[in-house]
Amino acid sequence: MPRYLLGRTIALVLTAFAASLVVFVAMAVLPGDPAAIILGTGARPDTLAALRAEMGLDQPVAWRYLEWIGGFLVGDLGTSYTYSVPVADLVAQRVAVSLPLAVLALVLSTLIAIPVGVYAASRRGRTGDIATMGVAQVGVAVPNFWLGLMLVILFSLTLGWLPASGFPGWEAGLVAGLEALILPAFALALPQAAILARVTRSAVIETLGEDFIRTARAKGLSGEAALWRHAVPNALIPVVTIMGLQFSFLLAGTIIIENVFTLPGLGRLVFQAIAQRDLVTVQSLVTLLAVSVIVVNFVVDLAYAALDPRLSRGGAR
Amino acid sequence: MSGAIRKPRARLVPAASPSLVVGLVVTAIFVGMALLSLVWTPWEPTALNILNKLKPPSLAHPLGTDFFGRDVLSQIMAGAQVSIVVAVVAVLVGAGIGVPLGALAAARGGLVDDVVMRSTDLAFAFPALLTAVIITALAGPGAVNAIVAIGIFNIPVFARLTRGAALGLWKRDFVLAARCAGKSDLAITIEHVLPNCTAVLVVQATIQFALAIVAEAGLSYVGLGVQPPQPSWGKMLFDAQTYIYSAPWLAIFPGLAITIAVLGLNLLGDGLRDALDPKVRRAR
Repeated sequence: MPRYLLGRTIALVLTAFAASLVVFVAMAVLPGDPAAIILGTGARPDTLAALRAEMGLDQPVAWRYLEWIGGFLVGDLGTSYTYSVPVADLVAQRVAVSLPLAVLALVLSTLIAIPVGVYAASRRGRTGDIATMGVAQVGVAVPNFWLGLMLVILFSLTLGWLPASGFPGWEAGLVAGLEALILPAFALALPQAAILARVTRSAVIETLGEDFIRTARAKGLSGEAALWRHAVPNALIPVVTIMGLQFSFLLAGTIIIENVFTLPGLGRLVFQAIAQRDLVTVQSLVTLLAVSVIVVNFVVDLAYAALDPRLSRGGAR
Repeated sequence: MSGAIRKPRARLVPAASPSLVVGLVVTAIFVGMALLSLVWTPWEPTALNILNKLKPPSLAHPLGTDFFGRDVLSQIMAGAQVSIVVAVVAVLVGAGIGVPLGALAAARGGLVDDVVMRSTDLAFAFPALLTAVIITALAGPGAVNAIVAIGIFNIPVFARLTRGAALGLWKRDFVLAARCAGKSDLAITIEHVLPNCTAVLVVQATIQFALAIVAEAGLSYVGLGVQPPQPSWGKMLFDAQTYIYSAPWLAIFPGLAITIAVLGLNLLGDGLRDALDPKVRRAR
């Protein structure tokens, strides 16, 4: 295990650095000088040069990368061109919306998907299975931003139960905050739940065919007990992996969903920063998102290895 | 002579599964609708008729009209063109680069394999839709940039799939035989390995096609896809949001079109997988 852990950690660090380099190079080769964009077309050359020096744009590219990534490592994400405040502050405000949204969506999708998937597996081939998997098949096809609009029509405009858009801020209270996040969280969660339910179903069906289930049944355990005590816990291993992968989908999903519900999250920040060519913000934000995806996948890998010791002993790949 | 010898065809080609049939029919309707819209739509999709704006569904306009009095059904039909063109080209770009990369990694192994695989790891670290949004936002909105942004994320998918399938094939006897006959790695890849990967690749292409349609709609929804006046489903949804109180049908129908198209493609993919992979068929 320690060797496996070391190998995975090195891979994690290398991938994270490679990701930051990809983002930096992509931003550096972009046409357009950020200083010129800020000052507009009528800027005098000496003003432009002064601003370029102030922003560090006159430095060699390699130096700019080192300076940026060095700051990044100690939590200094640079200073926003447009807001003139540290990017880290901007991110911190927005994470308070996006992270609860993504976590809420992940929790909802798990709470829905696992019981549904186990139920379908236990009724394999019968009406209950066919009906739930039919619904799941449709659920996979629904785009989450459209589902968001439909939820607004139903729960906000028709029933008037929940706010249609906007976010009052956590200082308005936990209930008001959660009320604003519940529809977007469902819009994100339901299509993901459909995918997860299908995965859970096939994992449970596969486990139900294993010898240890036959043994459990042979020693007199009821079908129900064998299912919940032996099949489900073993089937959850691949389910955990899919949940890790879904984190990446949820992060990407939030940026569109935040537009549907006008939530002041990371997604809106990305859009604003791009619109204002606030490249430092875009660069740090995208790197941060990529690194968080890498870290989540790393944690999932470790969880997987802890759950299934064969993996860490037999070499990673 | 006829009837004397029964051909065993019935057993070799199993009865088409319901998902294959439904998937094929829905996909055919979707493609047919896009083709039809090239020559005929009930109304001119972009014709403005302010006097007739925001009309609910009626006989004349089965899916109603939008804020400019444009016929929603005609716009949905024409919008299918964009979905298909962007998705098809994006998948072709992804497969066109990803399949050779995966085949190369499997054939060469060693360092080449490591480089290709670690690059795909890296690509998967960037949430696909988020990055597509950023690419199109920075490079400028439009169909070509949308295709590039969506296509990039198809490359690692196809590279991994091809590598995985090809690795198994390289161990097979017929590849060994071809080697003994003195064929080069390239010739073996083209003549023996890739043809045997076709089934998995076709199934994956169907799934990626469905994902690309959703991605295109997402990009258009945030204003980064094809530009007006060309109708697109995502843009229709964006426009509908303003009138969601007074004209909810504007938000309902384009989303239904996306859902049905994606559902059809997913069913087609499931059906093809069952039909092409005997192992899956037995397990069901």
